[in-house]
Amino acid sequence: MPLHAAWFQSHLHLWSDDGDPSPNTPGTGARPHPRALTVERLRAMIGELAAESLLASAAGESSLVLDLPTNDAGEPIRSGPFTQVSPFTIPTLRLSPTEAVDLLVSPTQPTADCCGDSYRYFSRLATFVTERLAKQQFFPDLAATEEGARANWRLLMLGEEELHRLEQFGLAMPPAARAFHGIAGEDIDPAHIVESFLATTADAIIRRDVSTDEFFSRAHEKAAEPEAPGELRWLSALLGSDPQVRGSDVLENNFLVDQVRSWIGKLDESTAAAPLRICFVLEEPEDDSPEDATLIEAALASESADAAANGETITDPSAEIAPAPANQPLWQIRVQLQSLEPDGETTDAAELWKQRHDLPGVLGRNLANRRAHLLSELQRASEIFPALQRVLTTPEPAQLEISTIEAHLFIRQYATVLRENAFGVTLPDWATRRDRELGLVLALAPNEAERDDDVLDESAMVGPDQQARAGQFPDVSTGKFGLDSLLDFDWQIAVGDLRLSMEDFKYLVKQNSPLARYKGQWLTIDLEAAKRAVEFLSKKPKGKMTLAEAFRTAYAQKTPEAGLPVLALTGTSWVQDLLEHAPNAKLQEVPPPPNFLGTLRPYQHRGLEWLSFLHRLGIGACLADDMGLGKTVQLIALLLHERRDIKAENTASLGPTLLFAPTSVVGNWTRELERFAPSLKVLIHHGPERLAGDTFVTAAGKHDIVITSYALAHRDLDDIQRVPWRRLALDEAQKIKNPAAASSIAIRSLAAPHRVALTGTPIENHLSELWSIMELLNPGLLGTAADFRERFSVPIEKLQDQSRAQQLRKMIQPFILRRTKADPTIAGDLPEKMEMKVYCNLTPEQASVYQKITSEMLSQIDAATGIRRRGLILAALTRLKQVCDHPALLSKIAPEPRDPLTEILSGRSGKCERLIEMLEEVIEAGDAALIFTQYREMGHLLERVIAERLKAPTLFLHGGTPAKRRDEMITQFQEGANGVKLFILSLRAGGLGLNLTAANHVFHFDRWWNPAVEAQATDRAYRIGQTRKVQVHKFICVGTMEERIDKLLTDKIALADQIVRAGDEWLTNLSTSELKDYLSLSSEAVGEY
Amino acid sequence: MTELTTPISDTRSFYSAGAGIDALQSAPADVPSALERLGPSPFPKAKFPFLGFLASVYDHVSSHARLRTGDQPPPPLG
Repeated sequence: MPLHAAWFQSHLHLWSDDGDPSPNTPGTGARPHPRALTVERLRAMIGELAAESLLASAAGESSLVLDLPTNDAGEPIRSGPFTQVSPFTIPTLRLSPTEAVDLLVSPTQPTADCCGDSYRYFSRLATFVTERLAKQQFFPDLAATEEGARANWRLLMLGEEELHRLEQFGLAMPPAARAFHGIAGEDIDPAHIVESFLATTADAIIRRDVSTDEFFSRAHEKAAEPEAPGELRWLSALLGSDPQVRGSDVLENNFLVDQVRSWIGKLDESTAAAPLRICFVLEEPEDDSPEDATLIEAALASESADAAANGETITDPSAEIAPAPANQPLWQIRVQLQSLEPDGETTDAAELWKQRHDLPGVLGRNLANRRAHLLSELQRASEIFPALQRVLTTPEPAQLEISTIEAHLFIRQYATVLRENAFGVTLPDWATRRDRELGLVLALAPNEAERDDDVLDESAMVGPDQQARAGQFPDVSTGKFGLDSLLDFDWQIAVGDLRLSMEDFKYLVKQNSPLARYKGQWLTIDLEAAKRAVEFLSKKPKGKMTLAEAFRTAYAQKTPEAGLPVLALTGTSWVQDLLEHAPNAKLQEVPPPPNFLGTLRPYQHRGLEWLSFLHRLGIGACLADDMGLGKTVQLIALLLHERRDIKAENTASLGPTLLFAPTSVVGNWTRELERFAPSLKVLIHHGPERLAGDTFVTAAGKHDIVITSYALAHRDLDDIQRVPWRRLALDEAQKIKNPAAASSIAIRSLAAPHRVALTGTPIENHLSELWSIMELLNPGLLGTAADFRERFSVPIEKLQDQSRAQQLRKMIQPFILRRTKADPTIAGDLPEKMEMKVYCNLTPEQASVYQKITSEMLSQIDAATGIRRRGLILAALTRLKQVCDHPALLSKIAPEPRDPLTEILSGRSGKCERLIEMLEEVIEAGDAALIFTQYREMGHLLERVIAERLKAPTLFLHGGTPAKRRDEMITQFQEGANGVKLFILSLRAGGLGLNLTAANHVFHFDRWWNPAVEAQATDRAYRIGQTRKVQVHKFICVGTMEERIDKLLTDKIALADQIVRAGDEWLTNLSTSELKDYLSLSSEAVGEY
Repeated sequence: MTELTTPISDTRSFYSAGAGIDALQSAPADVPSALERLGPSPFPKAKFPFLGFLASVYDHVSSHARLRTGDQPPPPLG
């Protein structure tokens, strides 16, 4: 005896077709169902089913016309296939929403014998409602209606899972439950039926539940009082049988609705699931005008005629600005709802209002909530952008028309604030592009006489003999080239690549509108600035200025008189080459220097061409390539290039280059010059034995390059100033970051026509360094220190002014060439693993101890033989290696943790100083490094020095590290936890079984003299999983046994094999004389720190 | 008589619920009350204890609903 159910017009109808058959009534309309159960039998049946039998009695009588399956004879069937349905009138018991829930959630659960699926379906829905009520998943709502405001309760269904469940409910509904004859639309739509059932029953149950308790009647009493506040009247409407809010006018109701909607809108915000964002899309007016250039031309023609008639001139900058046209085009702001879920959909608010009921899509479900959310969010947005209040006055807010002025404000001000407040804003493409802004371009051109590129050729690079022959030595001081050269300038008005004529510009300004369309493109115009620009350009649109003045005018000066911002500096001929240079730009081709013993990588060759180009212009260059990319060889190549046509014995006649370098790299320069450019004459002006006075001046003039340290710049200034230098070169130029330091002042005081700085630090991020270096390279370009600080340092570093930073970048870009290893154009030129030797000098203390150990050992071994001799040699070797690392390793008194390290450890080891300098660059670049040493004490010492000098966290893994801690360290380093970028390892402990691919630098602080062991350590970083290039830095002390043994390993393979096999033992077999050769200290070993 | 426009051809399908109905048995997880989610009262200057009153409504309705379900899960369909 199956009982069926259907939800129709907010009531549950129960019926059954299991009655006694009655004669079939023929006909075409709805016929009585021949086996319909009578209402009496239905009551009896339900009475047995329900917990309270009175429920069946209370149910009303009704009927439905349903389309039911029939056979070919038109008789209703309950089994088997069917091809048609016919309408039947069938008696029903009609239950109110509360009665329906009482019946359907009865403890006596329906069985398949007595109840059809449609009944059990609604039973499941009723349980769904009751469970949500039990979990307090419902909320009070208020909606504006034609009659006023209507209060009701709604089920809260948030989150994808809940919405999915609803969707499933819709899909699972038996067709019999919605087979209403002659009914279309939402009444037979499963989603609507589900929503209607849930909303109606929840609201009804809550109202009935509270009506049973006197306590809640207080709300009605309070609401009935005169002047009762809106919230009480709303409460009363929520709890009583009448949902209409009484006793208030339309305005009060609307205000109350806004308050309530804003409040319940939080329910959407309070869940991460299915969040929705309101977006505003700004749309341009339809382009239905014949405007653009044609219009402008026509207008200008008309104006000219008028002006001529009135005896005026349209070029008069003080001409009155016309008022905005009365019928300006209207812009649209379209409101959208956007799901914030991945691949979430976006829909227009207009669609939301068109929907009549919930649809399966996420945006369609919970329709009432979505609408409430939209309204409350629009209310919130209108507090930011007041024009939106207009849209809130419409019954179904979806879009807003705004004026051009409002559109401009929306773009310039409100869009940002709205975004900051979690609204979405979509602007037309042009509105966010800076190249759509009106601005000025300062166009430069060399004078006619200097435009011939042939003048700027290789003759600049030749020596005096060739110059005399050619008779065209291009002295950069004559002002033809370089920053002091006098150039023609021409101010141009521009929008991106588009140039505006003065006439067009004046026309646009006269429109008096902050947004204007020109040649089909919308432009943003700062009207006040544009008016000033008209005046400025009318006064001096063309003239002459130096290149340095042009740079400062364009970027480094306040030029309020210009009105519009200066967008760019452009040029022709060599000026264009200078301004538009880029790492890949094609400059004048420079063949590889013939005396360069090596091969320049492609990017290094490009670097040489760039250095050569700026050299020819007499402009200082800063080569700022990443550490390891070979800045040294590029400068060496330049030195060779400029001597390519000069006889070997005459190269010094070109004038020497003075190279300043940190003490720690003087040795490195010496070795690199020997390796790549042995033809160059190199003078090391360093150490206690250095030349002085006339001897130095004379010697310097006979060399191609003089290498000295920053420390001597001030100390030996008198001697250095006497030499006519061709070029000043600064390695690790960041060393002069303090412009007020004595060495910086001394260096700036030196005269030289050419200047080059090398640095691996991105100096554009360190403005004091930048100014100091640029002031040396191109004095005056960035203005005084005080000007620079006011114009750039303070705004950029303290106020995070991005536009100013961009301006500065543009200004310095022609003078700085920086490539990084990550640069795709560079990466292809680099091997996966780059090994380089880092030559360091000893400090005087190290040299003294080294000398002492060697002398003692040599004096002792003469009298010793056999094991004792070998023991003496091996012990001395260990001590020599240690002193090359750091003399503190030989000290029996270890520094206490509380000792100030800078006093105890700093400045005593050349390797240590160099390592700190290089690690500084590693950290700056965001890289990570492994540092291998064979002495545990050295590892501890490095930990402390790095902590003190670099303030960087380190890890130290050695033979005594427990396995568990070792694993933790590896994980920490690989994951970069706590910002650890530096990992110190003892060579043995770190040599096996570790995967440390987070590192892309490997430092071998001391040498094992066994390439296999070192390679194994290196491969901790260079193995599967490594995605970056790995740089291996092997530290070697110049002029010590470290360098000699390294040379042996490199040059003499046979002996190298012996060394590798026997470790240090092979040295014990050498004669005292041979040992002396290997171990003694050469004069170049010592540096002045 | 009306020719069927839907692909239902078996009477059993006409009267049966879809298979998805079985997935709808689970009760909602323990989640915060909607009133908790709503947060502070939208009527901060009201003299009437609006939120406290509403909280009583929630407790009352919730306890009634629990009584109704007997905290028993619904039986499976089919």
